[in-house]
Amino acid sequence: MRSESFHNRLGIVAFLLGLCTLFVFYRLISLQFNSKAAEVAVGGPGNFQMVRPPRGRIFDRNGELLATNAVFYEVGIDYDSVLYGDENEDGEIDEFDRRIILKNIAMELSNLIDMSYEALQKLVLDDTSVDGTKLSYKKLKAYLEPELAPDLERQMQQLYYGSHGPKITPEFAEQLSAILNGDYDERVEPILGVQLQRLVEAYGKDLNLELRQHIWALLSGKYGHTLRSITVRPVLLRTYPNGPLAGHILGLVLYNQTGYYGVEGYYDDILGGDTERVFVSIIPLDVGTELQTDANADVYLTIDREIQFLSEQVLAESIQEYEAESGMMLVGDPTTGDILAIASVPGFDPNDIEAVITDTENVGRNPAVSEQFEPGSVFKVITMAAALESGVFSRYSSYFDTGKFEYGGIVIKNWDLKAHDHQDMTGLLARSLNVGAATLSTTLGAKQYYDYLQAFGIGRLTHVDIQGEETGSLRRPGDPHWHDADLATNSFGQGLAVTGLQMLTAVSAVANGGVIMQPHLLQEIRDGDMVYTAKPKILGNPISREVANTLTDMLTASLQTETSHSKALVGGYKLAGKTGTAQIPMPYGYDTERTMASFIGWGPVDQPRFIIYVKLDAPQTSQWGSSTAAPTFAKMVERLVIHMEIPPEEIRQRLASE
Amino acid sequence: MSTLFSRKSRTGSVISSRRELWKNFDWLLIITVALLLTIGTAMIRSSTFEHPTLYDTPRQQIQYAIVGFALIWLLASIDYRYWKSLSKFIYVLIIMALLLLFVLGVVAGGAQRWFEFFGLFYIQPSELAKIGSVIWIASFFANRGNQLNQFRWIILSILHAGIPAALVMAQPDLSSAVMIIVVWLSILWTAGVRPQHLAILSGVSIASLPAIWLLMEEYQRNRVINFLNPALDPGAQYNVRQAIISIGSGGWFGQGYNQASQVQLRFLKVRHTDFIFSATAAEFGLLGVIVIMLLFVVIAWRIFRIGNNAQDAFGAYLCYGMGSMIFAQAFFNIGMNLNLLPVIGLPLPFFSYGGSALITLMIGLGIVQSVAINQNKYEY
Repeated sequence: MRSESFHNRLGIVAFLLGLCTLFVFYRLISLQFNSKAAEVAVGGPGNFQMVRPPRGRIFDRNGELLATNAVFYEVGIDYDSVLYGDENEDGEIDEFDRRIILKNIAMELSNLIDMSYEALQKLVLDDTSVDGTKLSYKKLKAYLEPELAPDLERQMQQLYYGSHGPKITPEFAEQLSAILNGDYDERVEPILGVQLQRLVEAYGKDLNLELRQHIWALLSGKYGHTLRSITVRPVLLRTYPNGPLAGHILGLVLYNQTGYYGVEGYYDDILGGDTERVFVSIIPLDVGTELQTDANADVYLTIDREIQFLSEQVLAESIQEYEAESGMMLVGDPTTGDILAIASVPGFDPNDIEAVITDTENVGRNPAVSEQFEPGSVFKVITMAAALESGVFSRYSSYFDTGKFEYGGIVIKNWDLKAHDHQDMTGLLARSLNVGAATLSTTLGAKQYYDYLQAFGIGRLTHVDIQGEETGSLRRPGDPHWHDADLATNSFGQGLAVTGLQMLTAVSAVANGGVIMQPHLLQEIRDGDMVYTAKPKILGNPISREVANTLTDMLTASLQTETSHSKALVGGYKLAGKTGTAQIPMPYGYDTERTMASFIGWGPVDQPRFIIYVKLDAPQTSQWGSSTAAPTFAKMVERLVIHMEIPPEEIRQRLASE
Repeated sequence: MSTLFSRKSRTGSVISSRRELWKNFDWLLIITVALLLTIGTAMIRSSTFEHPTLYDTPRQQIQYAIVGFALIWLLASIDYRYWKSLSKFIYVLIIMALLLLFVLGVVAGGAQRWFEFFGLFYIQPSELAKIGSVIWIASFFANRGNQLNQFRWIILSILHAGIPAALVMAQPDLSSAVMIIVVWLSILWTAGVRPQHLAILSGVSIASLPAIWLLMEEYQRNRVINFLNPALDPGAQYNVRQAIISIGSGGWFGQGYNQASQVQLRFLKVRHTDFIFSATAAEFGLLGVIVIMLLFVVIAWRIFRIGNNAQDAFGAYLCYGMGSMIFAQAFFNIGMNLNLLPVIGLPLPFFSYGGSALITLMIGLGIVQSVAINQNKYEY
């Protein structure tokens, strides 16, 4: 064949084929260097979502786990894979059919998960987002217990073929066996979709009849079309293995993966980290794997889980024994500012997210930093410290107690309404005399007295690392509601408000040689190999070492003499402390029935290891701090010295002299 | 162009010895095909690696290839002009086979494309119809070489090629039908159809598109719709989307053999057959697929060259039809992988897994080689 025309014609064809090749080549290049493709290639069908990486864990000072993450499962609907049909048989597929199908989905799903048909229907039907666009995915139930997820999948599978009982036609059996052999008719491809591929690849030839029936039901869309759009996928949920233990310290994490209250709230940026763009599979029925993101930093707290447990236990026992309404106990190390434990009743379980969401009274807030109250007689420690530091009074100063003290238009009386004649400063503390305390503060004068209170941090934030701290309240001369009488009443802890932690922090100056250490929960942040260790910080130095030591001596002595023998004492240990019984302020005057009993104390006095503040609200067995809060303190100390391995005084002296 | 189809000066000697005969056997063509088969089998292995049901496909492909090479040798040693004298017989045989298949298919209540022989092997008549169509169309035009300026012969050729094409399409097997039309068109063109006749034909076929649309199966229509408007059904576009993602993830040199995430994690479906090109692009990158495409260009060039040097019109048309079919299949398959063309289910020649398609191609190559061997047999 060698005619010229044949030749020309071949040339034209070759030219055309060359054009085709070039076109293909162009297309190839443009696809191959499409930056998006490589990014998408990491996953199957699905979409990118903004997620926060797994939160960092929280440990106590000894490395005991306090908060971690667990996999739970989220149930959602993938609108793209809903199969719509002409449900009302009016010849067209329209909004009515769509609603019927979506309602059927809600109905069938309500049989499988713990949600009502009404609630599900409402969720499923509303497929428009806030900005008016159609959603492709919607979350229906946020958290399904891990053990429920495989069960749900099984139930969904059963529903596909079980109740409806699909019939396998010979025709389909043929197609299916072809599919199972890896070779199938292209015609079934459009209805196969992703699911068949996955199932076939997962089970291959080993499928039993039941599974084959299931696949058919799945594919045909005839029997099982309602639930094929439901997805079950894993999400990480914060979980607290110790339950309510230290709940108020830890705070919690809500569904938006953001921490609230406590450490979770305060260190949210460290624990939670930045959001990341992550590919999320939308393959229906695919219980996917965990999302792969970099973990965040872990946080180690100064909390000691054992001490926390002891404090919660002792507090709970006392509240029951003395029939108190509520209470708190704080345990700290005055030399470093480490917070060892904060117990509060009523408690709080951070695992119970729903309770917090539906709560209107801020149960998650830590009362130790957010509850403001009149501290009562324990405040005399601060007043005495100010009096001694000023130099106006010494340990051996004395005054004459007439049982009444008139100042600023009001009359101050002692708790027993009696006169106590000549009293020295230790006697004042031991008998907790209001007249004496008012004498001290008024003698110092408003300027000097309030400067000392401020130096102790009264009415100011401690800046502890717990979310939701309140300032307390201290009115000074010049403030709108300050009266002369306040100078007298403040001296024994009335007419001002503190938080539990503020009280602990202020008194820790006396325990720690005059120096207040910054109270804190953070011990370490560990981010992979990097470790940040928090160093103790000095918050203030309101009194000298001498005054602190003198006052500690006085408080130790006063415990011995206080109403003959204080219930706060623990055999073999030298402790310092002060009881308090406060009246509870009401909108008009004070509550006549209820009191707040408290005790603050520390030990061992020459080398303090702990400082404890106990507060019991409205104990019924006795209104006095000396017979409720003081024994609670003692009970705590008894258990604490064993846990902290603090030997009794005698042994310590012997060890020190050796 | 001139190098592609350069005229070769002929010595004009009468050759009769078998040794001399095999001198013209096109070894470059066979080596190119062997290369494609090797890379293809490697890719089939990669895409079915440790697959519960498909792990055995590479071994099967090698078996088919061996049978195929034997067939090339066998057919090359048969003078291709026998096929011309048998073309009418082949035509009738294949029409009957297609009809029988159609009847059996109706009985079985589904698509029927295969004949099973004693459970040992399968024959797919539509594949045979492709080879047969090359033979009878080449024969048709070779017999009427000088009459093609008459439009009625063109109409007759349409009827001739159209009957098997329609039967194949009714199976339904759109891709094979398209291949028969491609063969017919390519031979029609080289046989010297008048451009104005071709223009009339194009006009008529465009006008008849709606009728074709009505004849198409629902799933075929859906594929065209999906191709034209991917947003309509994201689910049905899954394969193509995955193919494009696979290609895009390859870059210059690919993610490496047995390494591409798309392929190994099995996101890409039918990756050992229809979408093997995407799998190759993902694992060997742009460089790899350029090599593949070059190999196809070499194949087309060699086959057209053989046609160019053919002894007679029949031999030239055979080569031309066969070369066009192979090139068109490659083009359609790659185009489908690149979402340039709708998915019509064509394997990549010599590359995708599939015994029936491979055997058909090897038979075709054997006939082409016969044309090559016999190019200088007779002086005229």
